[in-house]
Amino acid sequence: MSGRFSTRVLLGAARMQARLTRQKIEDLRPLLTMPPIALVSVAVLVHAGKAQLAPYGLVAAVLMTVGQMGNFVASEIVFMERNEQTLELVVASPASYYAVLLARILVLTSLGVIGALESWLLVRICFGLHLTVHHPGLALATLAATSVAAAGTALLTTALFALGNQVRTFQNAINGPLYLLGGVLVPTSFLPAWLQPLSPFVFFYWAANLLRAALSSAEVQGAAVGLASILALGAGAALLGYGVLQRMLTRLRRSGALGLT
Amino acid sequence: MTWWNIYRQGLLVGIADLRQFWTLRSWFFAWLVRVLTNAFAWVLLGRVAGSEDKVHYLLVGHAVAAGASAALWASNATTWSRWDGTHPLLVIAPGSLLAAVIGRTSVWLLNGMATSLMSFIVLFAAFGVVPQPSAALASLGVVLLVCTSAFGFALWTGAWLSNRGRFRNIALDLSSMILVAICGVSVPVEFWPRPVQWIANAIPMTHGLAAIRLILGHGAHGSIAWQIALEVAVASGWLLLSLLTMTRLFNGGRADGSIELV
Repeated sequence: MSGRFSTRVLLGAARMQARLTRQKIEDLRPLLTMPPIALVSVAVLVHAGKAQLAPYGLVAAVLMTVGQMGNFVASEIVFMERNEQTLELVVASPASYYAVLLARILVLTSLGVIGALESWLLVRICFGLHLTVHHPGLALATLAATSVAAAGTALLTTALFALGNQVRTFQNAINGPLYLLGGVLVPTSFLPAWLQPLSPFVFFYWAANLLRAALSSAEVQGAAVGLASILALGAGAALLGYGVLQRMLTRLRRSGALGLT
Repeated sequence: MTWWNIYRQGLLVGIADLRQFWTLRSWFFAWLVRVLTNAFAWVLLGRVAGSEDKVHYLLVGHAVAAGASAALWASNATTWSRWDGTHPLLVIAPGSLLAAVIGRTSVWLLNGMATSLMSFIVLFAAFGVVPQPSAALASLGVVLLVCTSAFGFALWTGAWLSNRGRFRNIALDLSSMILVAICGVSVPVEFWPRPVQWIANAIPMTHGLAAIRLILGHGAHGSIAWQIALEVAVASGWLLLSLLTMTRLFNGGRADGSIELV
């Protein structure tokens, strides 16, 4: 591996992000505010006498935590660097900017996985429901693949947010449709028929199905296809993000506007 | 300058704030899409639970909650004059600071009202619910009251957070989540333990939403009036509390120099 994309660069960037996040409570916002989704959704199901469907609520809370870490926290990295005038320094350094960015984003989306534990505990304490993970290996693999896919997607969104002035507008607009299409809270079979064909293009769709399967005692089918789809969709988004960032940086370098916000 | 004039100037700043977020087009295609997709997911959870009554319950609850949650953004807007560095100037100005703050933040109340109205129209149409025109009109009035109530609560949290600005987004998310969880949006208030019910009865939306459910379900007039009266009391209480908190904080800020703190 070349020095520009070395393990040292990746680890250094990850360590820096971990230190930054420790100082900034805003980075942990999804970890504090998303797990209670499990409380509300499981309450609806328990009240309707469908406690056996409680895993749906847990899966929603977990995926939304990871999703928000990607969309609300990681996606702001480039925008913040432009605002804080540090973008020129990172881009001018000999390390690959994409390596630095990817490592930082991965730290944030991986932190989202803590949401799984929080949500599980909330359901256990508030409703006394002990949700068994029948296929722990699959659950762990899905969570890992989801963090990677969320990171890939965040590479694209961080590029798009940095280009547009209305960061919050984009940020707020993206997740709602993705969660609905991905069947994060409600399986996609409940969506209108004309929307369902779009779902497999959203990595949350595969992640939600696999996580629900991991919480069910039934035998799991299609795990490999599911995991591969999550990773492929994440990689696709990352490649797109790379392209957009590359164009943006080249243009900004050429026009000398890198430091201008 | 009169109180009203200052309020109007504040509102103009608020409108500029709103425009930082959305144009008319992006309000519909970004903000509303986000709100509606979220509400759709919750309403469809009723289908998962296997009951059309639950679908209707969640539909009404989330259409109202969408507006109340949007009005809560006023708590963030309360802290913005500190970030802009204009807060000390407002404090030393001879005019009413409260009028300026309420003016700037009340644009989020208007946004909440518009959001709730659109949510009702779209969700009712999508799920084929046709309310009686008189019931729909009466409910609309109560929705405006609920948004006002949430706005009063947001002013209080905003004042309280004004020099703890870094917690503002977390507080906004959590307060919005609390409203959706315990105020009768997703499950009846009685589902929760008694102490949680006490809290639910003292915070915005619980009584207003109960009134809206009664109106749409052709409940007794007396019960409807009682729930509306309770929501008016809650709204007035939070507005009064927020005014007192703001006044105390401004005076405290003058006394100990913390008005510059962000």
